[in-house]
Amino acid sequence: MRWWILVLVICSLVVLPQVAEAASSVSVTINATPDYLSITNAPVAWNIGAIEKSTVHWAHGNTTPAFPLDNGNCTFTITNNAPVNVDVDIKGGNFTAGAYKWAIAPAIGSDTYTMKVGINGTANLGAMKTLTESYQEFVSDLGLSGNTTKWEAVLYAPSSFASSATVSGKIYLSARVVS
Amino acid sequence: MKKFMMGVLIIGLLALSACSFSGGTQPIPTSTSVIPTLPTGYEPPEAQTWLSPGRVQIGNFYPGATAEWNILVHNGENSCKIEYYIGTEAGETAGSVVLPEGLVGGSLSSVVSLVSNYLGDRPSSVGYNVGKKELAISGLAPSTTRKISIVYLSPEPSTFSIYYKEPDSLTEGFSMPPIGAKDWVIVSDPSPVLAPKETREIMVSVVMPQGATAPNKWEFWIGVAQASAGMVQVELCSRWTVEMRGY
Repeated sequence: MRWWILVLVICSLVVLPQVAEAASSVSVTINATPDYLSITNAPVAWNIGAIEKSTVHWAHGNTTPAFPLDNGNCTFTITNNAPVNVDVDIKGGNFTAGAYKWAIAPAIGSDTYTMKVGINGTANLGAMKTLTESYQEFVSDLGLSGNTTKWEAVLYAPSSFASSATVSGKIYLSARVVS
Repeated sequence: MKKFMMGVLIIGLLALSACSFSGGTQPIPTSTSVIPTLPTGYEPPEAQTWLSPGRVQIGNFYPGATAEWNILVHNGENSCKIEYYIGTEAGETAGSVVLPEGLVGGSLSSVVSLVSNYLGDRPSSVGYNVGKKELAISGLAPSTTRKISIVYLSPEPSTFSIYYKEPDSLTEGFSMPPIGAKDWVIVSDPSPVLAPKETREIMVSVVMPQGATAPNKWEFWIGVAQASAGMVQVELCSRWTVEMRGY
């Protein structure tokens, strides 16, 4: 009889871990929404041309537009080609020519420039966003399948240049489905 | 004899027991990976770059587990940018440049933009020699040297970057990813080279180490950027939300 009790105890040692394992083996689940993301921006290029120190350069005709901004005085167009609404962030970056650079900053300085951007409807110059090297929300809830937003940019040139080299840089747009 | 048989039985059962304990403490990496089927009328555009899916949801995740998903990256049309200095003599108003890569279809419509840094120019592309890849330009001011910037569509492949990214904004109810989560996310091919209009599956794996901790619900993004010739660079981000086991 003692042997059968021992066998029962040992059997329980075998079976119990299997029960515990079953409880811990719930599968990781992973799902995805059947959609895609696609935005385009046009034009892709903005050639600012020759720049003098402390000058102001608007993308649209190099003249200060009327406010609030409307489609007629915005240069760029973001198009949402996706079947979902998207949010779009924006950031700037330094302009460079090899090792020489213009730093991007909220105020101009020596070899330091400022860039502001605004979408259609921006009330005034103060309401335009000042770009930094970090993303900030630019277009909220842009509608799906061909909806567009027009936007304008202005560059404030450095107060002085250490070099006459031609610099270039980028503006970055980042899109994701609305949260 | 009876004691001997009982001894063998006990040893055998103990061996089985040891195997069961071992299996019970191992993580069981499981996931399903299904390419999304898009509804009719919502097929992605062939000529534009896109990323699918826009959102991936991981559930029942836990330390030691792995989740995998194939994202799709599509290259639309590849734009190239070149810059040339072109000089004109007195009375001369035209010039030409040889493009390093040909125009898509050999067509002038593949020239996206053509700008000069000399304000007196009004440049436009007026002809293209397919064999020589030579673009003819008119509208140049005489007796001047200027820099011409050309952005055009090329049939050449394009390089993409695929990377982990901390969210700029969170889905409601989700937290920022834990410190170190960047090291848990593995992109099988972080720098794919895609021909125009090519779609590529790229495996993204989330491997949470044993003993690691994370908020109950957290989020990270997978960013995709195409090397762009233009001034405006576009990035597409897929949201990945993770719910830990028990939530």
